[in-house]
Amino acid sequence: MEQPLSTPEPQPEAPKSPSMSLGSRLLNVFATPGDVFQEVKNSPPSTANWLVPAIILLVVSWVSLWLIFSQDSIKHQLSEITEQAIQKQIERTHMSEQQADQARAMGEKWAGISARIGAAITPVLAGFLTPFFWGLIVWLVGAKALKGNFPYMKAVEVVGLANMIAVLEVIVKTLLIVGLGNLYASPSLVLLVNNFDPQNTVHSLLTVVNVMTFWLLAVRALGVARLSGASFVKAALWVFGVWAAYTGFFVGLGLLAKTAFSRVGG
Amino acid sequence: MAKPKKRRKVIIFAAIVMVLLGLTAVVIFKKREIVTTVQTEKVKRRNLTELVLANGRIQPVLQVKISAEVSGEIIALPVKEGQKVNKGDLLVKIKPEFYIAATNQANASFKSALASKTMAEATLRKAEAEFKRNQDLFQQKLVSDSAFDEVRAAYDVAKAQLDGAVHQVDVAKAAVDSAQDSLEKTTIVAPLAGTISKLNSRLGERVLGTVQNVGTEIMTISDLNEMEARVDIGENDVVRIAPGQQGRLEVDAFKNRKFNGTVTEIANSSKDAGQISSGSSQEATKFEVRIHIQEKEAFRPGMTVTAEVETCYRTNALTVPFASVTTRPPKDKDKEKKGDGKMAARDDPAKANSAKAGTNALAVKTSGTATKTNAPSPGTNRPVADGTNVAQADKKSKETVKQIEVVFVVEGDHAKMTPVKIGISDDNYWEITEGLKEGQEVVSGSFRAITRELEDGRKVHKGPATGEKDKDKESKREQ
Repeated sequence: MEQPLSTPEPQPEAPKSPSMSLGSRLLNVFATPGDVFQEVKNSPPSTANWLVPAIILLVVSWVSLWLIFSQDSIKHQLSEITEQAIQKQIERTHMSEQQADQARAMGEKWAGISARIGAAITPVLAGFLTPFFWGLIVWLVGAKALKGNFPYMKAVEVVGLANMIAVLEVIVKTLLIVGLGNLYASPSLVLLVNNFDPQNTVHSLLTVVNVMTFWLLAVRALGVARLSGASFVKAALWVFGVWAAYTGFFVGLGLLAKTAFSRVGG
Repeated sequence: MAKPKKRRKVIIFAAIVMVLLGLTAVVIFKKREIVTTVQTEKVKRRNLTELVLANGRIQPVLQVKISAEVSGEIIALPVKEGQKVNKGDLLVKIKPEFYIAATNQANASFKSALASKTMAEATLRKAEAEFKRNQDLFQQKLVSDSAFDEVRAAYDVAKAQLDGAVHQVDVAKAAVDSAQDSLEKTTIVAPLAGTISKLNSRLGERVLGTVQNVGTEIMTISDLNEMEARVDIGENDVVRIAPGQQGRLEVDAFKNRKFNGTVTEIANSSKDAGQISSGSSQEATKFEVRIHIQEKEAFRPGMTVTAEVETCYRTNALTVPFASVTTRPPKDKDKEKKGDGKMAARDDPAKANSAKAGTNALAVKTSGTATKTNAPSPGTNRPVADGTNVAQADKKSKETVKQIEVVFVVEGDHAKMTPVKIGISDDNYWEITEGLKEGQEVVSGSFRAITRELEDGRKVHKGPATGEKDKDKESKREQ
């Protein structure tokens, strides 16, 4: 008797043990991110996938900030920015010479302190909050909008590994700032501007057009595509769309605040 | 499949490494200059009027304070504040009863003194007769020596008593006059025609006479037809003020109007001369200057006034913005300065601090609170001579570096420190008498750049002045 051929029912893929080491994943995310994310999808959850890049980003950022703020030209630019801000405040509020001197002294003192505090805190936020915030976006896009089936923490791992691009961005940006002696230098269209003015809206918009940001977004989009099983184009449209929306929102908010301040200032 | 991936990896990593190496090479080999953002302005010819600004109050030229010379209750006060009075008009009447009684008492004392005098005269006549009689008898040896001496003594006593009585009469007469005078002083009349500018006392109030310490100041009569501004001017500026100089006055009460005035009087002593000797005064020393107001207006004594006194005028002078002029050690003394820094600090801490911070002593316009001037003051511009012995200063000048007045001329993208000689100034500009040519571009801001950062040859970047947009708006609005 011929035994009937029975086709086994498709079983959900069991998590495989990872074939890439953590080090390989961290490096391969630059060259073959698709393979890395495919493996993340198929591997059991690993905290190291987001924690290690976060720590690397934190350490590299701190070192970069120390390097940047140790440059005389940068320190000078910072003090000029502070001075200009204080001067504007003095002119707006019509302070007396004595009050203006006090304001200058206070401004110089607090600008230094707040710059140090900001420099210490910002990398922490960038390293540890971004994986969870962007992880949420990736999970919402991949699991809800594109009907994928993966847990939230997988999205966090993908975003965490993609943050290695952010580490490279920090290094490139630091080298640009130190090399060009310009605090506002970045791998963006701002390099085309001779005299960057942070008050200029067009100049501010040029900073948004950053090649490293686009690379990072593309890698995240690839992560969404791999996790959800959707096409890269679809995932990229979502990821770039979300980024454009919130960037637009913050740029608009900034413009509104600027208009409001200029009205208050007369 | 694996080969293309491997090739891709190699290409990407090679690209990353190349970019990083390239950037690192830029970091290592590029010469990094500190660029200072500055604002600039061209050297231009302008008319300059040097002004000394001062605040003060309006007061009448002629002002009389009326005080009672005798104490008592006011029983008549027929004037009100602001009322015009003529010379001789009744102003105040003080209750006279006490002074009438005092006059009566003095009169009685006078009469009593007269009676005493008459009695003394009678006594003298009697003593004289007795003396003459006894003198004859004594010559005939009919009375003893002791009896004659007694009579003579009685005669001398009577003469002295008459002298005393005469003086008593004089005293009593003077007392009568004094009482009469006090009685008359209970009525006060206007010593001049004018306006009651201040009335301090009321009917029924008790006032103290000037006999007892400071008398009560009952009222002030002022001649409001002639008014003057009494302003306080700092010691640095007062030396440039002279009688006859013209001034422009702004009275807060008369907005958008300016009045003309002429300096008439300059105080010889400072207002707080007494305090300075005790070393307790921390405020700037001020001198009162009187400026006669030419226009007639309804000024009231005590109104606040701001005066601008024109001390100097130049036409077609070469000028730079006020903030452009600063002080620095001369170029050839730079090395010396570095070497002698400590010595300078030890010899003259104020000067050393100034050199260290590059303080723009000239840009600090105001030294006091009420008085404001733009002209350089000897105290700020010439620290060597300030409060030190000139001979000592000359000796030290070999060891320390004397700061000179400079401006920074923009040549290409660098600032060149240029020593200048300054003349007069107004609110916004300094006159340059030597060192610059018309049309040159000088650094006019920022305050920080000029006072602290700029040095000869420093790379600069011309940026918009802070608040320039606001200024543009204002100028458009004005147009």
